[in-house]
Amino acid sequence: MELKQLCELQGISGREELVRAAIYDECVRILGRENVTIDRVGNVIAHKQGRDADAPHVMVSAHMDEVGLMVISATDEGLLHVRPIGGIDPRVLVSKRVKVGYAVPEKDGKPAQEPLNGVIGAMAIHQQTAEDRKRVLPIDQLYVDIGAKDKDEALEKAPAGTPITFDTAFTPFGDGRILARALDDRIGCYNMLRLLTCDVRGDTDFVFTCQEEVGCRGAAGAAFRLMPDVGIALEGTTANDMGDTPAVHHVCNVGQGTTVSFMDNASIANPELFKDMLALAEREGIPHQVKMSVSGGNEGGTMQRTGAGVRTCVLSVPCRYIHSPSTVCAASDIEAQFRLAKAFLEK
Amino acid sequence: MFELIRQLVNLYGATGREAGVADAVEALVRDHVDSIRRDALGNLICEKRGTDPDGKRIMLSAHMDHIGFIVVAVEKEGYLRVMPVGGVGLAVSRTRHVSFQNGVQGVIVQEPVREGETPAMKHMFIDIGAADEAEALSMISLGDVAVYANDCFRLGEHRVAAPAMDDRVACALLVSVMQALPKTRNTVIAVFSTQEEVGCRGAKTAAYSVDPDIGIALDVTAHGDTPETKLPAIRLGEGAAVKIMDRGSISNPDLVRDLLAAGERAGVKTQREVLPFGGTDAMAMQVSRSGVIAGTVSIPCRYVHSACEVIDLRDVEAARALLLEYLK
Amino acid sequence: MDILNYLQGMAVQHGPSGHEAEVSGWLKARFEPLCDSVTVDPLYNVIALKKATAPTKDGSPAPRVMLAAHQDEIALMVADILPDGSLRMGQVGGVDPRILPASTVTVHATGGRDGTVKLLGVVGSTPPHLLNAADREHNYKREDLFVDLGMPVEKVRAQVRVGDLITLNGPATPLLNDRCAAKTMDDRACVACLLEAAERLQKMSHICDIYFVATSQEEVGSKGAAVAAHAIDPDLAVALDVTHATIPQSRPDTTVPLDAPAATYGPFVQHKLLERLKKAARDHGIKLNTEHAERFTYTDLDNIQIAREGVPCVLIDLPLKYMHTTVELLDMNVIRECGRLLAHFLGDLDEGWNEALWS
Repeated sequence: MELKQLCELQGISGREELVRAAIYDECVRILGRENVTIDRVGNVIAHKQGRDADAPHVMVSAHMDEVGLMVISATDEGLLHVRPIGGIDPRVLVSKRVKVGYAVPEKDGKPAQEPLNGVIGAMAIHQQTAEDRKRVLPIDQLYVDIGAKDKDEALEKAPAGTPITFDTAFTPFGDGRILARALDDRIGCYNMLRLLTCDVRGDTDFVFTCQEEVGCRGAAGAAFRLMPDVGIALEGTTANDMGDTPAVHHVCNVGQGTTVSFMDNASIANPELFKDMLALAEREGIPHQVKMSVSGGNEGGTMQRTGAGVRTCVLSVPCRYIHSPSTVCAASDIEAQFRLAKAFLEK
Repeated sequence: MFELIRQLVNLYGATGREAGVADAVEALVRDHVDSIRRDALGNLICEKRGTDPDGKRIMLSAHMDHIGFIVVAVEKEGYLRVMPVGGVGLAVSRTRHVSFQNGVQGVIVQEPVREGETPAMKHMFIDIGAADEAEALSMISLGDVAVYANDCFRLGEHRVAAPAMDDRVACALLVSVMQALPKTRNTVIAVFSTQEEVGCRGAKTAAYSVDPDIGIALDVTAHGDTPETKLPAIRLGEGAAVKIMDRGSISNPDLVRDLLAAGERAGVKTQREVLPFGGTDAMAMQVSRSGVIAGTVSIPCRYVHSACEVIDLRDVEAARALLLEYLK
Repeated sequence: MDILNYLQGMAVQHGPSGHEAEVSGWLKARFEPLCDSVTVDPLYNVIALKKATAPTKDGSPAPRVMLAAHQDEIALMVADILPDGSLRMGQVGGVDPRILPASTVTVHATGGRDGTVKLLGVVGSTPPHLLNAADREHNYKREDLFVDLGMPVEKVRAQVRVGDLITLNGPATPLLNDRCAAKTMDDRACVACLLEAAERLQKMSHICDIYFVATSQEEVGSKGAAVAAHAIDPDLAVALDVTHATIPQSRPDTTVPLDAPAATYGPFVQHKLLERLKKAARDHGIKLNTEHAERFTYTDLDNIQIAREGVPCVLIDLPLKYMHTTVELLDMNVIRECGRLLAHFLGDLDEGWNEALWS
């Protein structure tokens, strides 16, 4: 399955149904129905038996959900009140296009659904006072405008709870770069689907999780169910390597390989695993970098503290402008993440 | 070129009082043009007719005026109260040597301000050494304008510092271009304009009467190559700057292309200038009558509107070669 | 005329103030089938003349009417290329920096060998994970933001030069109720009103010579309108520009409803001509709101009114929400109504139009 297809599927946290269905079908196609499960919270778990029964049991995770917005109500004028699902800086929302509702293909006799176009406007610069210009518009003063004439029409077309995603086309650009929404973490999903066919050493469970962006809620149950020996999270992470930002604050650099984290806000990587991972990358000539910051958090932490504890390590693809409508990453870094994960699972 | 620049920057010529500069310029270009006249605003308009009656009319404009301080009141103790003529900065003016047209010298000083109060021009005064109001008024009159005093010196091998470099360096450039320019098919009108510093007022009327097809202002521009100054991306010594835009006008894109190409043909260095502020005579020429194709060739200059405006002679030579090639 | 089709076309034309060559060519082709002559002047004003189709009853010369709506757009410009290949931005016209983070832009690179190349760029933003509370309290300034071309610096330098234009991306996005959002509705939606009027006038008779002008450089001081008015020397003029429609944060006294055109009153507007415009609206069943301008209208009217010996002017306002963003939103039916109003105003203009203009 191509990354483009995965990114084009809409799926905010808690509403991953489109992504889940596509991934489930793909896993079944590759591993057979008997090896693929959808668990009680909506994770897709694909099991692959290892060639060495004594080797550690590995859980690899990548999350299906993306950050987005959700309709909560509407103003009398017909503008939608929304709330962010996942961490979104409200400053990136002004003057952006969104899709309200999901694009659902025709299925089982149900007709296809088209999402509505929406835009997020703001008071014109001409009408702003000096104070306005300084003031950051909070989320409760940012509205999604679908062109509805009044509240009733707005809520009929987009009832409370309707998911909203950024309207960004998947676009390769520049020198091997990709611009898209939801790269975090469809990149990980994409690489995990490719890993399903590799020759794993130990028993391996590939878990496509849900609700990572609202606190890694899917991964917790999956890790508890699987109780793996080792957990590897495949993520997208924050690259801050732009403009005149001093190098020490870059966190990581786009185009310089997959990152290996020693620590983030959720977990400290198992030191041996961390060192092994770096040595492996070195040996295999896989472009890699150490993430130079303690920031963000992901399923590594969730897995690590499951049951009696799990040795974990996080491999990430550096993403600029993550959690915004325009996330950018390098195709070569996606490849590097894949190669390092594959080498680790096969060794 | 240095001598010509020195001659022109040393002349008194506050905004609105440019006649002395015009006299000197007239003497320098008289033998190289077909006609010279001055208009109601004091613009000096020098025309070199083209050989082709269907040729274009190209107006080049460099302004003669210089920012200053106009005397608005005299204190009992003989100190002069002033207001700005053009964009004079407070910080760069404190305790500066200034001089008047009639040769009276002074020092401009800022009085102490109360805590929390922002210094403004009303806190400035000029000390001309007078003992009292009567003596002061025997030396100067209300409405006289002081400018930063002459102080032209070389800075290193290629650079020159002086007040009024804005825009006498361009006046010198334009004089030198007119002296060297052979007859061409196009008519070239050199305008030494007045009152640029208060809103390109001279160029406005000059452009109306000259009615050109193409207008090119010659002016200084700011720099981005000293500590903590990043924009514009202009460096001294890196060649003549062709303006893409500033606050006052957006240069005609085809003219920009032609000027840069002329620079290339002449084998001189050029820079592309995007200035987030400022404006030149091009803004007046562009909107004259039914519209004029307009642009600006700039001389990179550090510390513009201070008493030490610094230019690089190599940039002036580059601009000269560029213009001669373009006009040819 | 198919308004949505026009909007989808205009939203991908690039024409920053002072650089309207591309959009002026596109608009010229649109006016040509509807007018007797179309020219583009040195400032890229598109001037389309539709001559009178009926003589004046008293044999007096046909009144010359200038209609002005601007074609230029606010934009950004490459101010510097940083050592990492990202671009620092300058601006052409008033770009609200709040709309920039995480937006995509088109960089018109002129430094390569193949003429101008359009490159996709992304304006970066700092990820929320790395922001502290203080960071979140202030808006981004343009100086804090960079354009990312996704290329190493050598490749950027080979293609991009200081002064290259950067335009905002904002395709026409249809919404419910015949509404649409796009960049540059300000003011190319008003040019659509001119085209709509020109199309309707094909079947109407008018005693006036009509100059449809898509003006340039409005966003940097209405320069195109000034020189076009000098060249045309009109007897009267109608300026069209967008105005602010009501949104939740707006003040009721400075905005108008989205669903109908408005006309401005105030000292710069000739009050008798305004009455004539209102009458045309009444006679033809067109809803017309009003708004005020106590002094400057901040439209092309301000310069047309004082061109040459002076020109009596009226101003038609097309309401839109979110001005100077890439999601300028309006009601496409109001464009049609503006065009209809304009056509009737011109069709109804009779020989006595200037009698008692100032009494």
